[in-house]
Amino acid sequence: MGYVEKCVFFYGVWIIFSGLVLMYMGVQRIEIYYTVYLIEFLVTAELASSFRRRLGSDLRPIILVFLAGFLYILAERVLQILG
Amino acid sequence: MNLPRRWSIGICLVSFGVVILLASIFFGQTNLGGMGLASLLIGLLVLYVPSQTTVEPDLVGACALSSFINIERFLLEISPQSRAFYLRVNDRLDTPQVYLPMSDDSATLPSTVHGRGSLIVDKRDDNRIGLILEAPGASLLALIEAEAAIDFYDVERGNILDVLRSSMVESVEAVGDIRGSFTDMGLRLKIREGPLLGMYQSITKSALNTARRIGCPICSAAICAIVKSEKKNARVENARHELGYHDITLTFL
Repeated sequence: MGYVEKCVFFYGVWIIFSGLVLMYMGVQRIEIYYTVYLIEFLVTAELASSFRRRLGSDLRPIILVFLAGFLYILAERVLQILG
Repeated sequence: MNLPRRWSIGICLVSFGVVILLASIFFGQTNLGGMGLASLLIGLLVLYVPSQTTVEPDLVGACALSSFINIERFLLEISPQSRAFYLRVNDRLDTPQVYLPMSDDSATLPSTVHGRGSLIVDKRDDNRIGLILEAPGASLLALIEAEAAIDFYDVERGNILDVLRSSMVESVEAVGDIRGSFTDMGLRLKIREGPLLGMYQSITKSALNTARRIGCPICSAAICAIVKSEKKNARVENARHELGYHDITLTFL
C-alpha cells in the first residue's frame, strides 16, 4: 500500500469511527457530520502534505470543494436564523 | 492498487453512500445519513486522489540503461579500479560531486588540485589526475529535498538516518527501508529496495562496476545526503547490490 493509499485509508477509518461516535451520541444534523469530516480531512491533508509537498497542491481542489460545501451549510444556517 | 480495482472500489463506495443518504432522507434517520456521507466522501477520495499517472520501473530502467552502459564502458576505460570520493559540499546550493582518480594507487584525495573543467590534476604530482563528476544521485537528492521540504545541509549527525528514512521512504517512496550505523571511521548503510526494484536490478546488472564504485542513483543520493550533512569528504569503500538490498560502506576523510 502506497503513501497516498495509506492516507486515504487512515482518513476513512477516522471518519467512520467519528461517524459512529456521533451516531451513538444521537446527533441528528447532517451538517455536524459534514463539519467534523471536513475538520478531519483538513488535519489529515496537513499531516500528509508535511511529508510530501506535492500532495498538498494535489489535494487543494478537494479542499476547495469541501469548503464550498461548508460555506453553503453556513449560509443556509445564517438565513435560517435570520428568517 | 491498480486503476480498474480502484475505480470499482470508489464507485461502490460512492453508490453505497448515495443509497444510504437517500434512504436516511426517505426514512428521516439523519444519523444514518452521516455514515452515508462518510462512505460517499471516502469513495470520492479513492476515485480522485490516486489518479496521478504511474510509470512502470522497467520502463524507466529501459530509458536509462543505455546511458549507464556507456558510462560504465567509459569509466572502465579510463579508471579501471579506483574508488570514488564524494566531495564535501561547502554551500547549501552546491551540487554534490564525485572525484574519481584515474590511477589505481590513489587512496587519498589530492590536497592541491588544479582544475581543467571536469579533469583535475594534483599540482605536486602531474600523474595524479582524476575526474570530477556530478554524483549520479544528485538530481534524485534535489527531488527528495524539494518534496520533503528539507535541506540536508542543516541536518545534524544524530538525526540524519531518521531524516533520510522519512524523506526517501515516506516522501518519494524511492526505497523500502533504510538502516545504518556510524562507525569510528565512517558509516555503514543498508537500503532495502522499494517500488523501483526492477529498474535498479537491471542497471546494477549492466553497469556493475559503476554501481559498485560510485553507487547506483539510489545509493548515490543517500551518500550525497550524508556527505552534505556531515560536511566532510567521504570515500566509497564498497557499494554492494544484492537481491533487494544496497549495502554501502563509507569512510569519512
